Amino acid sequence: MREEILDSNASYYLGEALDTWLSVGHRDVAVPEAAGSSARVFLLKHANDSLPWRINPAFKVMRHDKQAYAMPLFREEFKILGNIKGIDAITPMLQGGFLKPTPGTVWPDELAPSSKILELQGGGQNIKGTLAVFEPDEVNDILEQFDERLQDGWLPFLILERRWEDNLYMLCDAGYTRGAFIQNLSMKQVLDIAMQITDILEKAHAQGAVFLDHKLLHYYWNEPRQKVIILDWNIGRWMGRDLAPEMIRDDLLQFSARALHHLFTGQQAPGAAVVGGNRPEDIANSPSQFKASYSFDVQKRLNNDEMRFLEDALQGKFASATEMKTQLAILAAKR
Amino acid sequence: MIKPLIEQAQKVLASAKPGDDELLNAQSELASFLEALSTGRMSIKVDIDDLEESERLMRELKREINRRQAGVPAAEATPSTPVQRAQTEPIMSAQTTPAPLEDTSPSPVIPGTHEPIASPSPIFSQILQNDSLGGLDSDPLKRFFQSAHDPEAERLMDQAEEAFYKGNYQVAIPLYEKVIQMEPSWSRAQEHHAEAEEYLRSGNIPSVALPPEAGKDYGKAQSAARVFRYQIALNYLDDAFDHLEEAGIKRWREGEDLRADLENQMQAYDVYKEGLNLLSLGDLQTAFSKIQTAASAVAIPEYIDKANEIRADISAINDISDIVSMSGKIPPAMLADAKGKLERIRMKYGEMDQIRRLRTRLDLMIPATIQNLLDNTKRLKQEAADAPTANLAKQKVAGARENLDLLRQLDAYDAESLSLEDEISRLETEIASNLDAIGRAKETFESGNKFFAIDSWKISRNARKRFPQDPDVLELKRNYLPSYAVAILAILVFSALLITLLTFGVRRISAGITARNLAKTPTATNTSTITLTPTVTLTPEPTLTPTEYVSPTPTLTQTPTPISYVTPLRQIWVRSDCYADYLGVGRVTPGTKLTLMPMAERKFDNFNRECVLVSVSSGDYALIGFVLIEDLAPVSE
Repeated sequence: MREEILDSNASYYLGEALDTWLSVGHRDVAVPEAAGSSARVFLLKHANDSLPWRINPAFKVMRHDKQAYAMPLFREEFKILGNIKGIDAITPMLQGGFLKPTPGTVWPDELAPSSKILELQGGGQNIKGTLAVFEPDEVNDILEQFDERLQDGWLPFLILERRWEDNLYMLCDAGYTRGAFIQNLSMKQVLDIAMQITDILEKAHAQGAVFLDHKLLHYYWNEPRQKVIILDWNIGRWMGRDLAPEMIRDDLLQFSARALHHLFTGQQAPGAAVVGGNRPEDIANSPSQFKASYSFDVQKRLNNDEMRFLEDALQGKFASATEMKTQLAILAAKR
Repeated sequence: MIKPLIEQAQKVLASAKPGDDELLNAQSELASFLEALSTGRMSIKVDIDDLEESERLMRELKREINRRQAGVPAAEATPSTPVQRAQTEPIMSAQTTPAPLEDTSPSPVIPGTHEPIASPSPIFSQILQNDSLGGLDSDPLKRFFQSAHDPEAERLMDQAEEAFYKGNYQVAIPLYEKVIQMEPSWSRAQEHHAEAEEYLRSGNIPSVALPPEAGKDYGKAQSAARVFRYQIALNYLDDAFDHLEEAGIKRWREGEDLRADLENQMQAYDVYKEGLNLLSLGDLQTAFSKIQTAASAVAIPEYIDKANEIRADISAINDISDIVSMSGKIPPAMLADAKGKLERIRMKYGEMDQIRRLRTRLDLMIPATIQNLLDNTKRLKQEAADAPTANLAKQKVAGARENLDLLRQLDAYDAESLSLEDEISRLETEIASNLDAIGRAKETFESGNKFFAIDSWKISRNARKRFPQDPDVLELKRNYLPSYAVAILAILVFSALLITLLTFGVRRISAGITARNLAKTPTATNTSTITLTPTVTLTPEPTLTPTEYVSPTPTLTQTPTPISYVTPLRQIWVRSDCYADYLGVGRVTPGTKLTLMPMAERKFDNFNRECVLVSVSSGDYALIGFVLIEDLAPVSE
């Protein structure tokens, strides 16, 4: 562990807000970002440009006014990112730790940085404080000090690789694809994406983690590599060896109702937790089965096998990600 | 080849204040290169990392350019999205006037010339290929059938269809009417004419039948609404309506419904915010009413949760009011609970008049309750100490602990409470150790000899004394009955044996004594007869003769008189007692005449040498003390 200063004049500082749902990116449209209910996310910079990473990373810090709610979520995310190994499709934690803002710190409003003025108004460059920085292999120390530090006014943070890719919400949501102003995904690509996600889930389940928060805003699509990257594990749970088959089934059901249905049809299954900010109980209290909903266009897009697969998935018929991946591979082979 | 472009873009982005031209230049060159790659106009192999980096840089450049563009006054550059327009309007006056940017969309640009080239978006080509309506004459079969129509009608029909699929129904309807006039039996023209009229009349236009621009904006509005960005959604929706108006469509039911819904959501949000403000001012009832209204209007979980939370707090305040208004003795638990709830509410909402009043009332009521609690705790502690069963003792201790907790909750935890807690803890420990002893005794009894359970008996000895009426102790006692019986029997046997042995021994001894007495007694009696013999001693009556010696005795007694003076044989110390261990009172030299003094008894020193008491006097000097006889020589007169 080492201590650093957060100060835009001399050391680390926070730049533009990255969690304001809409930012203007490569596309000539507003790009949706996941706005967190438990955290704020800013770009992390250094006054001397001396950060050890090639691209400035994202700095995810607990909301100071939502501590009771956010505390378990951050603890779980530390556990998962600290323990999970060997999955390169997960956005890794580069460093973690605690931030103690100086007294009287005013946190910026959630303004989309769609102009230079708004970028400054919504940015975190005025936030000053002390950082207790831990390396990824010191996660146990973070967890040990967690309660004590929070009582002492520190806020936990994670430094994550910044995702620059488009998220799958923008590429799949019917509101966007109907507008036809970005490149739509083909069904072959959709099946490949679903397979990649099930592969991530398979590995995560094998190590004892469930993701649970399967909104498409949490999946990013790296076009050059044709690769899915997953982000934000704070609703997830780290169970280690105690991961029960029911939890795996629930995770797959959430994936099916929210991500898979959205990928296939452009919208989530009716009754699934909303795309906006979710709390763990929203997911825990969601139905145990869902029904597929197809618009006219979607009926033309999907074939019978794909529809049957989606319906089976929404009924919770898959007990493992491996099983689901195998089915998806068969469907992809037929395309 | 791509590397210099990447480096250039990185350099531009890394510089503190890159110029607009630099940004545009970097972006357009990178965009042209990527476009050439993707369309196959350039066939060089590019490393995947470079490709990825260039994609990322393109986004960075675009983002930066768009932000700058968004800050340009409306007269110079129109924001391309409603988001930009909505968010930049308030700050435009504060902007400096940067050079207006020209086209910043990612349209491909011919390298070197920077001249945009037209290229349809991939999605358009996809739609064209997938268009099941067949409206764009790509179907040869359709063209065959169409060719059966009047050429002029067919031309008008094409125009009408084009306008129809663009959602331009105002234009399409008169064209369809002309077609129908020329060919009344053309069913497709009739259907589309009817549909277009219906759309315009009722406003029930399905989203697929919207003009494309309006469809785009409607889609965006729906996406934004789905994640609760209502203002942004409304801006998109306004754009969609503008496009519809341009197409001559006055009514659009779905859009109006969405607008009404969005406005409803926004109004609910305003009411909710108002409620939150009132909450921060401490007006819980009005705040609750506002938030409840917002929750009922839009059923957003956040509003519903907040309303429930405030309802629960108001209900808690009412409960506390009821408690402080109660007459008679208020149960301490109720008081402590009320105090805790009030503190929580105070922490949550800050100081409010109502809370302050309730606190004052509670503070007045608490001292009497505290004394009562303390007395009760002491009584319970005493009862626990005297309880005849472990269960009863535990119940009393638990009661005392509850009272202590209540004291703690009432902030009345002082030295007395601490001392009570300490005593109660000791009682608990004692009860626990006794219970443990009973348990162990039972186990030992079960596993050991049931007719001689001495270990179990020893283990449970203290516990049996402490809890004589405890069911477990009673059971143990019953269990020990066989052991008691065996012990009594053993004692009886042992006593009998002892008595027998004693009797036997006594008899043996008395027999021995008897035997010995019989052997000696006669001799002894005879001896006494012999003692009579000394009567013969009476015979020497001549003993009277020595009486005559008495007379010379006085002569002899005068003999010592000469030795009443002695002289030391050497220089010696006269000491206070006999001899060397004692204080020397004076020193006498040989030749000094010492007078022997009378002594009640003879005295000897540690070496068994005899001392005598002597005195010396010479003029005004005199001393008295002991000296060793061996150091003296008699002095003849």
